[in-house]
Amino acid sequence: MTTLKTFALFASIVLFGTTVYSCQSNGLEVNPDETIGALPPTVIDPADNPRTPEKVALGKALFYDPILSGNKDVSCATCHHPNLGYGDGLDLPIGVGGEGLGNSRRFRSPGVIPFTKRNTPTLLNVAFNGIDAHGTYNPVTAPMFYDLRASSLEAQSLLPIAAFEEMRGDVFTEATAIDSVLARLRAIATYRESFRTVFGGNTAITAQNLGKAIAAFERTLVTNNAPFDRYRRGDASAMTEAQKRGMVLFIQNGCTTCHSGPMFSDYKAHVLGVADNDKLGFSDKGKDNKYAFRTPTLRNIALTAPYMHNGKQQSLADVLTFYDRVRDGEQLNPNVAVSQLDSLLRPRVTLSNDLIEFMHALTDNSFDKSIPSQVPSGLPVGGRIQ
Amino acid sequence: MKKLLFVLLISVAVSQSAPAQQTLRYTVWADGVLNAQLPKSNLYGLGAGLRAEVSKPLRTSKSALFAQVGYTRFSEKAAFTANIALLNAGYRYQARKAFSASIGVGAQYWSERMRVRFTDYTIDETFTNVLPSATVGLGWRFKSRYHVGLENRLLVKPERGRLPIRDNVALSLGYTL
Repeated sequence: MTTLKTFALFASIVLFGTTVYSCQSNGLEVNPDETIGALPPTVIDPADNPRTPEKVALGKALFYDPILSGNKDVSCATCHHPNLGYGDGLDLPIGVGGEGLGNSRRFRSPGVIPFTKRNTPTLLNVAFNGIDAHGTYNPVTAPMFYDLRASSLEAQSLLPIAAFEEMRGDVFTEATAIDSVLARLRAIATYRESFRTVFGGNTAITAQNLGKAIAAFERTLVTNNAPFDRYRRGDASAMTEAQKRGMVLFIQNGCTTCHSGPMFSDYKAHVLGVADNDKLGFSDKGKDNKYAFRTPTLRNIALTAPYMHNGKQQSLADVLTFYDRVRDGEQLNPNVAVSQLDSLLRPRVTLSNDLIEFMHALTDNSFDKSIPSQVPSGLPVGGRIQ
Repeated sequence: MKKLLFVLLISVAVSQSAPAQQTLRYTVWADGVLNAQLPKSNLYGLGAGLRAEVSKPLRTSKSALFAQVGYTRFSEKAAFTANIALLNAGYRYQARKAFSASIGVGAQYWSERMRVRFTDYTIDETFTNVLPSATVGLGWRFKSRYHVGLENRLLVKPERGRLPIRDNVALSLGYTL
């Protein structure tokens, strides 16, 4: 009897072991439309705006020159500074009326000029805006801004110049802002010469060419060699074990539903119900007044805190906690009912160190951080940022 | 190197238990294992395993020292499969006839296979680690030779200056030979 029992026991063990060991499938299959991959090695330029070294140099000078702002104290670089990952490190940007850089930037006279209403997006890899999960994009129709109100970098780059709180101030009207800035540029010999060299003709200083030059420079701000890029190109050692686990969690938890493609964005607007930023003084209703905001890229996310369209989340851990609260059915913005949230928003994520580690693998710090020593206007480089 | 260390540890444990054969008890456990961190890290869900235990009752006979070797496999949830060899040694207190409580320390050798299939590329990697472990268990004995156990296994995995913990719960059926 004991022999029989022992035999039965060991037979059960063998059967049990065999069954357990044979339980395996073929791994995690990533939906082709929600895949994540390496960034392309090169950038596509619009056919009517090919990059040349001279054009990029002109664009860079304009980018750092506060001559483009009404009070001559704000440049593109004021809020898109290389030391801050081409962002500003603030929840809401301070454009006109501000001084200082990053966290030390303040209004000189608080309450006079409002905050710019949305968090500064990084310009790193903005050249790839609109790229889909299959790696296809068109720079002419590339979506810009959190509410997708502009297409192409050429079009986007002119809008802050005419925006009251960003660069214009009350020196010009919105309608005359661009023409007024162009008149200033025409009065500077270096710009006259540079525009003539780059675009040809004596009437080269136009709004269109201004946008083209700035866009040409912005297309050089590329970081396509993050650990994740190297890993997806076949270097297994490029990411740590924790980052690889985080990558699986990222896919498995449905983050790629919206954060897809090489830029980790579907470039569509979604309603997440992020709480309003009280600094703003009003509720930002987003695209079409539906509280929808474009999915931001996760590229270089380690450099671009705080997060969300209004900078409400200070850290990546805060962002994951936000998704946990959404998952748990909390209404975080009193103006957005839970039933209004995007149907794609089915987060299963939760605060996980591996997920955060993975997002750090999307950061490539090897971008152009050089700042010109002077700009053609002779004004302080970058504006009033000291 | 890690594998070698693990094999050595098992060898030492087995060799140490041999001289006291007269008073030893041998038990086989079948485990159903659950990743207790499912809400936080759902790389793994369920697993199953087997353990062989040798225990030596102490003077009071209410308590015993035990050593276990075992194997666990976490079946694939999506991307990950884990094969785990474990070594555990500890102390068990038998309260009255049926109930017992135990604590133990040991190590687990994890071989984790990760497979992710992108449209253009398939990743198939294996990670191996030795993780220190600590266990806390409760048990219930019936018909003198049969046992039901519930055990919490805490594993520590040092990583980039942090000490992430993996927490597994095992529901076990045991039979003492």
